[in-house]
Amino acid sequence: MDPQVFFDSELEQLLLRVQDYQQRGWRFVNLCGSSVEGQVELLYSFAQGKQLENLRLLVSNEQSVPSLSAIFVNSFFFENETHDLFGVNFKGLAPNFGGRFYPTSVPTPMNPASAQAQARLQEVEALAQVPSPSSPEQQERQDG
Amino acid sequence: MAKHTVIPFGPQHPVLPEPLHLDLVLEDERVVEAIPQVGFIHRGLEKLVEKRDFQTFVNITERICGICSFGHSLGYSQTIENLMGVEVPPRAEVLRVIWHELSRVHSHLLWLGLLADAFGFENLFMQCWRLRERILDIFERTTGGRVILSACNVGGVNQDITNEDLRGIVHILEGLVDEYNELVNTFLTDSSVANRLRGVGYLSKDQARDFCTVGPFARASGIAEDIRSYGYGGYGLLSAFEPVVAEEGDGYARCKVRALEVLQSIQIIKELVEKIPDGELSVRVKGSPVAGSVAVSRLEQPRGECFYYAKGNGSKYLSRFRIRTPTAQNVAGMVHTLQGCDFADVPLNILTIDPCISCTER
Repeated sequence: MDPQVFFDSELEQLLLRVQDYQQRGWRFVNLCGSSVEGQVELLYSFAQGKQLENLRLLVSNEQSVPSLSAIFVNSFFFENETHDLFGVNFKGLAPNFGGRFYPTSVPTPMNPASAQAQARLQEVEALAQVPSPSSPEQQERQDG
Repeated sequence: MAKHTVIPFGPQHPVLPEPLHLDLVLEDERVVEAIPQVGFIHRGLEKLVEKRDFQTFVNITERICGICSFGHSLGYSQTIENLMGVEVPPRAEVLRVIWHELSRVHSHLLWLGLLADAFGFENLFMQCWRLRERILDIFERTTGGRVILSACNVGGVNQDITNEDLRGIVHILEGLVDEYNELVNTFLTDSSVANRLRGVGYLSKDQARDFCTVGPFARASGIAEDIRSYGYGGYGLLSAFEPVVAEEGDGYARCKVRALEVLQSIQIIKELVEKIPDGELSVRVKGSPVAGSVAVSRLEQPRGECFYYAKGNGSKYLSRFRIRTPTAQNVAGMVHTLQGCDFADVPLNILTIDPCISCTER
């Protein structure tokens, strides 16, 4: 069974803690976003041999999270994914797919409280209030 | 300065069994940059966990991928067992490992066949897939399914394999080894294979470590890391386990690692069949994961380390389930190996990483 080690972290400390992992020879394993009451919980996992540790931090939709791609190149995959599915903005992300990593039919499907999802919801509501133009056949039936 | 040309590669390509797209920036015939694009088959299966009972969600995890199906059901079950503190019966642990190792054998044989097909060795391709059929026959005999096994559940396994049938499986595998050794000999000594694979997609040990690569991709660059060596589940019964490692770091080394891992998996099955204890197959899991409880788990899938995370909310539904697949971890390394390679080597280079996009997008 893998060790279940979870640490809470602040956003400001994230890069320092990740650099520390990298300097001690740990590797980046995963970034997992979770929607928690209008915010997003980010879980970063690191491993060295049998050891496995997880850093947990909570970010709001307005905050920008520093990208790990300058420290661990492979993080770009997970950060682009988290951006597209949760609406989290990453600062310094390279390569940055600008929201086109996962083409989704609705914005940030895993985080309905994100700014993008709310803006889309308002658009849909506004469209629903506009009466739809009736077809010539329908118009004829109404007149007749 | 030479003219740059952008060639779109995939998502449909004869050599790619999975939909991966790459924008290849070429300078003459040499790739100078490769930009990956996924998202063609994203199904949102992780989101579905919010609407399915955690005990039955194992059936969905099996359907993430047709090749790693048993591995995903095992990884999911392990994670929920960690989350709820469930102790799995020893016989079930061993049966899980036997099915998992058979899955590795069939996955590697499938890959070896695809590789042979990619470099134009049709006969070798057919021989690999002919042997793979025997593994699928074992699956069918022991579980009733050839692709989706439905053998694993949270708390244990659904079916037993009698000790007599286990000895029968060992007998089949021993017969397979004799024929398989001839194929390994061709893969590792034939000059036409070596000419196509040697030096293709080189990744040094330091680069493999920097890109955090996993599985045979990393082991072919000299990184001796394999989650099975940590002795989780039934692997703890093995007298010894040494990861198969190669130092060359190229396509040939990746082929060598996978070819030898098939033999290693058969050895593991033989040893575990001798040591399998009698006893229960499953324990009943009562209740639901506690609100706020979290657990992680790792598993060595045929393509490398797979990471699982689950979060409970006090109900029978999980609030989050996450799978990080080996391909997601290896994409950065794969893109690096493409830089500087010949355009003609691109398909083969991608294939040596054995990308599984179904798993990666879920």
